Amino acid sequence: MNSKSLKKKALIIAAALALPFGAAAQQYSAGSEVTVLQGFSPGGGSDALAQLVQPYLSKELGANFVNQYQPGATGAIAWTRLAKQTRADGRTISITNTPMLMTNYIMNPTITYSIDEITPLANVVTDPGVIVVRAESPYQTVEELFEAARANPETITIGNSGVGGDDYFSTIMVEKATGLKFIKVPFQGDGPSWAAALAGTIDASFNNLGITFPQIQAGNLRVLAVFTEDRLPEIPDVPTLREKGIDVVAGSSRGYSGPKGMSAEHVQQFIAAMDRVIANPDFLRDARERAFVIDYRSGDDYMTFLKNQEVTFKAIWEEVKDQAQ
Amino acid sequence: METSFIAIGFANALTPTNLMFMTLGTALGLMVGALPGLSATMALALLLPLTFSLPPETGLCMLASLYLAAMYGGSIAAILLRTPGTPAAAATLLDGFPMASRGEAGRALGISLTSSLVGGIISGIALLTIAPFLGKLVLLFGPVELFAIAVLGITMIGTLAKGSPMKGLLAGALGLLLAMVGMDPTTGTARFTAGNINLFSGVPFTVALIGLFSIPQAIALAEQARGKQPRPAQISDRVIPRLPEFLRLLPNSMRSAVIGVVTGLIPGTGGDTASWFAYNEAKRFAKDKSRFGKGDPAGVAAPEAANNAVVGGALVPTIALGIPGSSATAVLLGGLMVHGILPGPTLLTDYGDVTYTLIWAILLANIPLFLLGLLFTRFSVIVMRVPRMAVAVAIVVMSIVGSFAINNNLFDVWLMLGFGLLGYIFERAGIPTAPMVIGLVLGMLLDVSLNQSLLIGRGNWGIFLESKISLVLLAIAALSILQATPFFRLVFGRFGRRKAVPQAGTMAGDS
Amino acid sequence: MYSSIIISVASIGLAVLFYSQASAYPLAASRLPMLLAWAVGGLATLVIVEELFKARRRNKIAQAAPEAAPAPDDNAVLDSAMIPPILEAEDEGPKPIVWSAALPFAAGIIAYVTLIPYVGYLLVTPVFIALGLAISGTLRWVPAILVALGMTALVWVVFIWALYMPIQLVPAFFE
Repeated sequence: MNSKSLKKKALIIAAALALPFGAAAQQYSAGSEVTVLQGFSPGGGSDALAQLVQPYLSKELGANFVNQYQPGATGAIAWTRLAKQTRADGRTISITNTPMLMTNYIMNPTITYSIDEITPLANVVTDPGVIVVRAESPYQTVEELFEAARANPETITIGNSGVGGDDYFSTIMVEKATGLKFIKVPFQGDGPSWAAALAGTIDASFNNLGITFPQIQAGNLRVLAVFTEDRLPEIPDVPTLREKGIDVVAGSSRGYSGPKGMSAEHVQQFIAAMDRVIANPDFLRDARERAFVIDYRSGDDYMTFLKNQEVTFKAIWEEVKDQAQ
Repeated sequence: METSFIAIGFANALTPTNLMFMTLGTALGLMVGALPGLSATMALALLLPLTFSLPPETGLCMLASLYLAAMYGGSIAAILLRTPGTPAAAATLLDGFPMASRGEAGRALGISLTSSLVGGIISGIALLTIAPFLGKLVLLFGPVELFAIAVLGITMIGTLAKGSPMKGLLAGALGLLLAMVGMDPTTGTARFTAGNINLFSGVPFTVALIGLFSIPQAIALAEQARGKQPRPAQISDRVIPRLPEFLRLLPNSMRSAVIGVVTGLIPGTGGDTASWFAYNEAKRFAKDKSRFGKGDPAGVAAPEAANNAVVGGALVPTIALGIPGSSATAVLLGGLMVHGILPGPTLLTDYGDVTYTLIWAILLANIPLFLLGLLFTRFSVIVMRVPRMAVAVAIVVMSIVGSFAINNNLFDVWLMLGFGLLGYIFERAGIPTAPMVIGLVLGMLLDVSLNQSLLIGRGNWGIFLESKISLVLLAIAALSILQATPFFRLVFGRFGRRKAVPQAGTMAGDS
Repeated sequence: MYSSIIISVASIGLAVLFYSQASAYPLAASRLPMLLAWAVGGLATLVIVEELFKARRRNKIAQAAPEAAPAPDDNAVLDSAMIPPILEAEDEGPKPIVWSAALPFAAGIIAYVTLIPYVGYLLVTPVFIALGLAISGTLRWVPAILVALGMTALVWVVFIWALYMPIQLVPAFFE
């Protein structure tokens, strides 16, 4: 805990004392305290989003945010708590990461929450998927890589960030779209996956732009393709998979959701505040500095986004689960 | 890349916040060391949950300085109480207590402090020079080699740990088996979770660690609560040693420090082994051997320099390979893991800034250790009077709050308690718990690297014999298992020679 | 020695359990657990064999020279003054369990954790500390309670006030 947050803490205490006890209003007001459940350890991607967004959001909403980390089961412990054990009084929300938010319960029948039990508030960022190879790799273009896989099926090794993560599913989506077969090597996170590609242990890594960008800039990794709708300004020379006739758009997204049954006032107020944050040039500059690709979808848009993904991933998992490696 | 990390680490270690936490860690370490019955590992495990609310560098600075300070602190109890504060200080009391009995407690403590300082500095320098070199070597390691390393690590720790090698290996294998609980990294299958979502990400290693190291000690203290608390000897003479005496003992402390670093490098051996080695060597080099055991200053300097020097040595395999050399370094590794920094070769590349801060902290923590050590030494007499039950109760409260704080989950508290009671029963049955901890750490690495290797090798187990590095490592592992079996000892006729030299019986991963 | 045999038998049981559960998992998920289950089972068996060997050897020695082992001579007295307690413990094997102290203490810890979700952390903690100190005869009741309150306050400041630890603080029916 740094001194800044301690100071904030003191302010919160002062505000809480000023507030009459039990005045659980149907809207956020100055001094209300909002707990943000995080399903991952501090210092990870979710935390990075929280550190970026919450100072701005706190100013717009007037509420103070307190992060609560409950890592475990790739976020499922925190999200189960959000869906099943949290009062819908707007005082507890959670950072929701896709695709894990859905793949958790799609893949494990023991995990019982679903997106129908939450109120999606707003998605903030999407880190687009990329294919990276090391600088010395013989594959200069994505066609060359796929051609090699076509010539020798099940020999090309592709790293991903772990079963159930976005890269794992995007590998399967590419396999389905192209009819190719790769050897999918799971790693414990995006870092070890690109590091293995860099070391030449694997032929390529399906990864995320924000994570590999420093290595790409340093010339250690080469991007073969990006899984977005259109080319990105950060890497203008890199083609999208769509250009190559492969209809795969994928990435890892992070946003905010509350429990089901949050009052309409709370939801509207939260989205309105988030709208203003997204329009703030200071915020956008901060986001750019951290290589965050803003992908703002609020309210029903976010729900539709989640629902579409749920359908896709369910279909993919039904197909591959019996022959899972 | 390497040099810039070294510089970043140095700058990181010197920020005011980090220096402050180093001082705090030193103070805590001195107190824990001085209290008999508490080990450095336990203090590290209890402090771990606190550090994760700090930036990783700051937390590690605090843990590293605590570890180092506890090594010196252990000698205070050894000298004044005739009870080693930590197992690593057992050799110190042979000459330390006789010195205190003849009114030279201050002199003995001063020698202990200065030789600890020499040991700590030499080990810090060794770590700083060896680790980058190993780091380059480790970049050649892929999943195949990592698998071999994990196998070697677990067999060495199992066979070298306290007690019977068979029991050590059993504890290690149990740790590995328990590490299999949770979602498997290749297929996402939830294994051995009994449908409990809290076990999906496996047994949280830090939680198990807190239980295994703190609860058995708390129960042991409670058992002795009604016994008479020993009274520490008085410190009546000057503590700061005179320069001529320091210079006279310097060759001895430097030799002992080198012994400490080398002993630390071997996984499974800890501060206690090193201090006995150094003590024996000092005796062998001495002109007048008869004075040993009757209060010879050299008998205090040698073990104290060695047990502090172990810290740096034990961190080399931890940092370079992600294989903790002892249970205490396993906790330091846990300090990295709570921040999502995974053990393995990436410690020196991706997380070089954090890792080099830790390395520098080991070296720089010697400064607060020396200054605080001088202040604390006289005050320590009061700390040693704290009743055992008060310490036991405080340990329990801290372990509960600590195991909760890691994942904010009450389930983890039960898990901690389960491991704690298990650890207590194991200890009383003569089965060491340190290999179990190492097994829990290495289990994941073993599983991931095995499956990655087999995927890359298209399901062919021969891949482990194709790589020369892995072939050699696996051969050494097989040999170390073989020599632990009773049959091997029967063949070589060594069975039955139980009561040999002291160090044979005191090998331990716990320090 | 019986204790380590019991632990070994329990380990074999655990290995069997894990092995049978693993047989239902896909190959990649069951490979290592099954291998390790074999390792645990094998090592546990070896430990049992080793213990039985040792027991037989001890019996033989005891029969050969029944009075030799415990008799302390002059040398032994001198030795015990020099050898630190840790080393003595090493030679005699692990310490025996002091049931009269270990059992109530362990039960106390279990009760403490059980009660947290119902009674609340801020109430159970000082009670546990005070009871521990007073019943063991370490402190009289009044100082024990004062120490308990002090320790609880310290934990509160660090973990709850500064780190927002979301533990059940007060009795459940107050919420």
